Parts: sequence; structure tokens; C-alpha cells
Amino acid sequence: MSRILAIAHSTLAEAIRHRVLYLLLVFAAALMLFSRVLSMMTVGDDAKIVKDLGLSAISVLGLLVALFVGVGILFREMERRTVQVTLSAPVARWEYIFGKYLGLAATITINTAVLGLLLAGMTLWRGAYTHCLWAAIFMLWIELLFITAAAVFFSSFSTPIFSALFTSAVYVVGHLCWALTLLEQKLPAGSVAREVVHGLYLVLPDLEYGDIRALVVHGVPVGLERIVWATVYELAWAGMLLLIAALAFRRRDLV
Amino acid sequence: MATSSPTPAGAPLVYEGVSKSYRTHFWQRPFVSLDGLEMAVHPGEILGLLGPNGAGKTTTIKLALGLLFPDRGEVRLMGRCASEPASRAEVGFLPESPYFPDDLTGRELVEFAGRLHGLESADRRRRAAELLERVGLSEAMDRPLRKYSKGMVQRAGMARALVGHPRFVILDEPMSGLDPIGRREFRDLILGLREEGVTVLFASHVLADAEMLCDRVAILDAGKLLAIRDLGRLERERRVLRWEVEVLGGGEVAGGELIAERGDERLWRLPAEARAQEIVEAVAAGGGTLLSLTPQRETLEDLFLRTLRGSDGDRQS
Repeated sequence: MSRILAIAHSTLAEAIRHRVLYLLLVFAAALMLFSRVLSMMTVGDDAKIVKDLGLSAISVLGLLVALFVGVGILFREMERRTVQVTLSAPVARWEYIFGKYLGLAATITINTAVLGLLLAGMTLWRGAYTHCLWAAIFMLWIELLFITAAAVFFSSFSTPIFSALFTSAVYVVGHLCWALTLLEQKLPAGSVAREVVHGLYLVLPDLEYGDIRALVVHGVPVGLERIVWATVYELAWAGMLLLIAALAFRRRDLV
Repeated sequence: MATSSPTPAGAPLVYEGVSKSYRTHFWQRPFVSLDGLEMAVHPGEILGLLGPNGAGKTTTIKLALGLLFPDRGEVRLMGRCASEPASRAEVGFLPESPYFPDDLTGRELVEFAGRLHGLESADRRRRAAELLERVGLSEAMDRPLRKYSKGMVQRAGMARALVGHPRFVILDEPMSGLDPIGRREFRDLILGLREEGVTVLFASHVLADAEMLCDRVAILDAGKLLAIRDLGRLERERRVLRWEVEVLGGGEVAGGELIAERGDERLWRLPAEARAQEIVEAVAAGGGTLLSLTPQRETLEDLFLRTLRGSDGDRQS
């Protein structure tokens, strides 16, 4: 465990030194502040706009951090062969993968916490703060932990450009899975196409179930059961991806 | 093909019929990097791995560290299969062009490696400071590696390799990037490791370093082990190639060729067949005074080139 933590610690230290991280953080904070300006120019509940844009900023920032910092760090390790130096110590390949993931997950956690506090402060200032906001931030964090696992998974066998593309695709597909259920309903019952669409729905990760942003923004109560199941579902996906990544990396020649 | 002497008990590294090939693209034929390597590193020795570029030296090292997996055969490190992480617990490694994260300081680099080797916090801090001082980086240990010269990175890499109290150290081109003083210090350090009972495998292009440091050398070419030579025995068995004779005054030395002259002092070269006693008599007969008589023996470079030429001949025939 100490080796995993050592790798996680060094990954977090490297991510914190990454300039892109600060650029993205400033961008997300600016987006949140801009939501206040936007709400003044819009007819309707300005607090909802602040919450909606704020939560979206956290989600997009997390995705970009997973893409640029996560994929970038792993690529640099492979390209510059620092991975070989690490693995020349008594470190198992799976320990390396899990250590890298934990370091990136810690980076995502810090980002989400910083932006979450900023958003909570802004809603408090507008008098629209509710504790439910933290439920939405928590679910975004869980989703980002899954996206980071996808970034590590693709980086373990693919080039950075493809890793970034595949990770983005997982994010988009995960949020569009509901479209598959709609399509399934429109296809004739018992048809092959319907079975294929149903099969696809089952094997693709569904991120919409855990996305409670809209509910929180509109003040609709969210049951604890949904939060628990969505958390278990997304973390199980993350664990499975990391396991496959570790297996794929286990016998990979590091030329 | 040359084979190593019988594997001694407790050999830290053993290759048994190891072959490795790479395929750069799936439509290309695989490139054979190592072909049936049989070799053992003996406990407590310094073994030099020599060979031209592309001979398979780095592949040999990466197979030992579990970074590559053999197509055929087995690599055993510290008595275990080389792919097991536990086999590297008492092994230190210095890569050829150290590729360390350059935003770490020298101290952080060494302490991180110590952590991976399971050293306790206080022990790794003490050990890092001690080793960085030993490699001459005590002043620069808190500077980031990107501000280090190539030689300083090499020194930090050496400290890193030694942090886990290794019993076996693998060094890939350890002298590259070092100035003459640094080379001397590294040579002393490597010899010091042997004194402490640490076994060393080092790959190098610089034959002079190998000659000064190694107990044995293994010569690789095109993925094949061509020879393993005991340098101590080579020292005793080395053929005399020619004689060099320094003479003060006098006339010609019979059978000799004059190669340098400074004032009254002359340097003569005589063929290998000449006997020392005959040379002394020839100098006296010419009326000169013998200042020195030196046999020029076969060097490691001669052995290296002769072995490689022999292998070229084998390939052509």
C-alpha cells in the first residue's frame, strides 16, 4: 500500500505543478462569476442560473483536467520513460496503475472541492443555498472519478490523442444513454435491432442516472437511494476499468 | 556462440536461453534483439556488458528488470523470476540517459525511490542526504533536476540507484555525461561497491572504463553473446604484440624501428618475437644505455575488435 501511496503522492505533486490545471481552475471560476452577470440579464430565477452554470463548470473542468492533466501525465511517463525508472523498483504494474489513478483522483477531488466551495459561497451570497447542492457536487465528483478511471484505462494502451478522444466519447455516450432507451421503445418488439440497442444500453456506462444537477437546480428532492446506487454503479465501473487497465499493462513490454 | 561458465550458487542474475524480438509495425518482420542468451552474473563481481550500438545491451538489462518479457527462455533475478516485483527489492538501477521527472529536486528523487523500496521516513531522509553527499551533490540536493547539468543528473541517478541498500546494481552507461573528475569518482564509487560485496552489472561503450573496473566482460553483437572473458586471466594470458625500448645514446638497435627521438633519447619498436635478453644485448652492442623495456600487450580493445571481427567472419561465411 505504501508504494501505491508513494506513486499517488508523486502524481498529485506533478499534477499540482501542471500549469494547465491552474488555467482550467481560473477558467471555471470565471465561468461561475460570469453566471452571476448572465443571471442579471435573464428573465427568471437568477439563483438557478448560478447553480446550473456553476455545476456545469465543475463538470467540464473535471473532464478537461482528466483529459489534459491525466492523459498528459501518463503519456509523459511513457514517452520519457520515467515509468521504467519507477518500475525498476519493487513495484508491481497494478500498483503503478492504481497509484497513478489515486494521484489523479486526489487532484480531481481538490479541484471539485475548491470549485464546490466557491459555488456554495456564491449561492449563499444570493440567498439560494441549500444542502442539496452538495449532493449534486458529490455526484459530479463520483462521475469525475469514473471519467479519470476511463482516462487511465485508455492511456494504458493507447496514444494520448486517442485516449483523450475515447475518454471524451465515454463522457458524451454516458450522458446520452437515455437516447438508447428512447430508440429501443421506437423499434419493433422482438427485432434484432431492438435487442442490439438494448444490449448496447446494458454494456455502456449510464452517467445520466447519477446526474442530479437539474433536480437540485430546480429544487426537486433527490432520494438517498438514488445517490447510493449511482455511486456504487459508477465506482464499480471505475474499478472495472482500472482492473482491465492493470491486466492490459501487466505484460506490456516497456521498450 | 559463447556461453557463460557454470552458474554459481547465489548468482544474482541468470539468463537461460533468452530470446527477444520486437515488431515495430505489425506488417514488418520482427527484429531479433537477443538470441538464446545464456549468461550468469557471479556474486560479488563487476561484469561489463560490451557491444556496439544495437548489440542488445539495453534489452538484456530491461529483461533483468522485468520491463520486457522474453519470447523464449527465462531470466532469474535474485533467485526469482525477473517479472516478480519482489526480485527487485535488493536491486538498484541507473538508466542510460536518466529520465527522471525534472521538477523534482535531487533529494525528492532519491527519497521517492527510497519510499518505493520500503524505507521508513527517517531512514530515507538520512540515506538520501548521505548518498547525495557521496556522489558530490550535497550543495545542489534541494535544486530541481531541470537545473542540473547532465553529469549532475547522472550523479543523482546513482544516488537513487543505491538508496534501497542494494546487493546488486545494474548501471547502463554510468559514465556518460561525466567530466574526467566525475568519471574517476564514479570508478572509485563502483569499486567501493564491490568492496562492500555489491555485485555490479554495467553496460558501457567505453572500453577503458570496463578494463579498469571489470572482473569479467561479456561481449554482445547483433543479439548474440560472442564471448565472456575473465579480465584477470586475460591480464595473465595477454599476448605481447610488440616491444618498446627507450635508449640513451648509442647507434641502431638491431631489428628495431625508430619511432621517436628527443635529444639523445630514442624510442625503438621491436617485434613481438624478440626476446627481452636479446633486446638488452642488442642495445649494449649498439653502444647505448637501456632506459626502459616495455612489452605492449593485447588490450581489451584488441580483444573486443578481434571478437567482433570474428563474428563478422562467421556471419559472412
